[in-house]
Amino acid sequence: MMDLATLVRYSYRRSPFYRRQFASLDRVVVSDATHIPPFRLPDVAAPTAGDPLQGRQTHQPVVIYQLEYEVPVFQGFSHDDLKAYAGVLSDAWHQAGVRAGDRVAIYDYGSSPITYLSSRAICPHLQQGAADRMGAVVICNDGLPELVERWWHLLTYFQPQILFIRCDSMGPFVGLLTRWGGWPAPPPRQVVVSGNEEWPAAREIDGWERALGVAVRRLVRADLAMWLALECPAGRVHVDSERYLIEVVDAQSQMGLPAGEEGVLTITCLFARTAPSIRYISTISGRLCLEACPCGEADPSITLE
Amino acid sequence: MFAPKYPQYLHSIETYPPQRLAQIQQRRLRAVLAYASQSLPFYQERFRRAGITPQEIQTVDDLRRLPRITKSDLVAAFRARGYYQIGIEGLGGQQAANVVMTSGTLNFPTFASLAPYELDRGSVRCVMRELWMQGIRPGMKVLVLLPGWHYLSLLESRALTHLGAHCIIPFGTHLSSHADRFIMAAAAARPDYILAFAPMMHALIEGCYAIGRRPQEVFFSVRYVSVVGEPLTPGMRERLKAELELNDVFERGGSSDGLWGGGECEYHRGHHVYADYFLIEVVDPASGNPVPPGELGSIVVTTLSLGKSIYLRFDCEDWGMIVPGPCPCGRTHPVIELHDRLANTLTIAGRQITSQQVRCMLDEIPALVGRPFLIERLPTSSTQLYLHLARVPGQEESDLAIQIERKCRQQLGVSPVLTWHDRMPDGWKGRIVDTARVREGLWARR
Repeated sequence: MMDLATLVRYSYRRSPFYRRQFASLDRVVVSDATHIPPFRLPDVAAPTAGDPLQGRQTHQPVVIYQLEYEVPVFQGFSHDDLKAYAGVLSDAWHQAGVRAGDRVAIYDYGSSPITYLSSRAICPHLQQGAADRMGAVVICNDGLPELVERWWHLLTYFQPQILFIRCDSMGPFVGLLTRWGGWPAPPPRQVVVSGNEEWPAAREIDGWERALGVAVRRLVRADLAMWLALECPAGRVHVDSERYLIEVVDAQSQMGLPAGEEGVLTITCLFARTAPSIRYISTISGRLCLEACPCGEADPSITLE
Repeated sequence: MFAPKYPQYLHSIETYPPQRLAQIQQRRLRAVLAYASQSLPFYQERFRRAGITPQEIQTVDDLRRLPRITKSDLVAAFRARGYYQIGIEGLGGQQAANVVMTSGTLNFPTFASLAPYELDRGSVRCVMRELWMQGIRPGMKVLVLLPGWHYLSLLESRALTHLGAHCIIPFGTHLSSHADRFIMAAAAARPDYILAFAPMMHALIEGCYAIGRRPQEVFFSVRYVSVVGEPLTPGMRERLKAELELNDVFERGGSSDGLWGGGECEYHRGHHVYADYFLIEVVDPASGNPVPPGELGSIVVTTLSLGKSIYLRFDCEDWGMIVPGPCPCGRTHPVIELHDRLANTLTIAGRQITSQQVRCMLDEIPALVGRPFLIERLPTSSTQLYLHLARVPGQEESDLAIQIERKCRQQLGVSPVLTWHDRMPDGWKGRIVDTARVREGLWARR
């Protein structure tokens, strides 16, 4: 990982986008995140022909993924970026209770990081996905809500212990199980729902848990910043400060907010080299928490809205 | 892009003399049979029922004593076991890393297990040879969708990695409704090469026109396209080449039931199927007797490597034929031409007609190239071909009808009954559907 100042200097030297972005930045203050100009999705969307990363790249990526946003936006990776990013997903799997030998089913598109970071078989140039690292076996179903019947078939025969499901497929999935009167096979230990910059409300999670009879946890993502994190048992999200710098800022003024005040998450990914993401202003709302988390985890935490 | 420093073949085995390939096949066949008889309950039971031991099978001819397996046999085994493993998982002592599902013919997707060996040294090597044969080289920018559930997609991912290609991956899936993202990715990243599902290529062309752009502008950097998913007709191939101004269009094919595949070389005579990994027979569907090269029959595959679910004499129930004669490309591995599902065949006035024949005929009419269509199977015997087609903007139905009528009579020896629809699914694969289902409108929702 790089510290913020090193990452800023590295990106400024190699990336046309960050050279523009940081043109007026004083060398003295680069270690203070609040002085570094942030960027939003529109700043890197609608790429020009031949430059899908809008000049963010510091070198040639081996893989470029189109991200799941309404506007065209891309992210590029080197082998090392993929390795580090898959490490983040592995940690989330570990927190979700995935163990060696588990059967893990993923109901999402192959181009979602939940899917492609799960296995080296899905993502070109990835040496080890989460399942490879953990010794789990993985099966996927495309993320289309209308493929839910196929998902039923998968549950019947594959009998996964952990499910990862896109937020927008949860409704059809719960409807299917309700219609069929429950799980077709032993239920999984846990269901994890995720969406890009989506955070389902707690009451929605409660409803899904009641309908499924299984614990449902949220996994938050900001794909443009290569960030993903599983909620802890207390419902908070802990910040892996080795890999990410996360601030809460005012959506309008982009000024940092003190702990307890609601704003939008601004995320810096400290491991991405190929197309760094420095102070990306996401659409995820949350508050920094100073008080200790009931789950016992010492890392700083945020509550998401 | 085709730098001369790279050899024409990825591996010397591609041009081994046929006798040497036959020796390799026999050695691998014996190894797979021995493994199956020792470790795989599904095959132990089949050997027992057939009253033969693997030791009695020394040659490819001996193998024919083993009864063919059909998808129905697999489905019955999955249903009886109630689990994704049914005793065909020849993982060679490794643990499964990935499980894949088929697309679901007979309304039942089957499951296959893959161990790391398959992705490192197994059939991935065949896919590497195919992609190399079709012009993919290190450093090339390849636009490819990799759905995580599909066997071929997993092999493509690893093969592209091993070959050192750079990958551009659009968000979404192969459905035509996701074509706009595919177009954006192509426009932004300027790939050299596209690997795609055949119906998606048509959706891309239509999608370009829908946003007021010519396909060759959007895809100007693309020199080659390789498609899977359905056989290309000459008309479709020419349209793709012309619309995208391509150097060449390749086809790959096979089946995720049976975990096998092959690809065309630059001579486009059919699919080279690598004999060191697959043993392909083409048999008469009814009698099971082998049919000579050049004649259509059902494709029966035996997989010759471990590290995955293995298939011994699996009848894919696909029409195909062994293309006779040596291939000018110099590869000595069999060339198999794929046609259609056996189920996509109907008899009209005593003639067997496949939907692929109908597609080829329709694709000779420029306005209908790649357009979705449906063949209706009537509950009683018929002397006419009942065709459902999507209306073509700017084209008079009566003009098209005259052309279809003439070609139907000339090429198929039957007359058509046409029904035109405002919309049909772009990805419709020209299936033959029973009247009752057509009336229920079930086909439209697929």
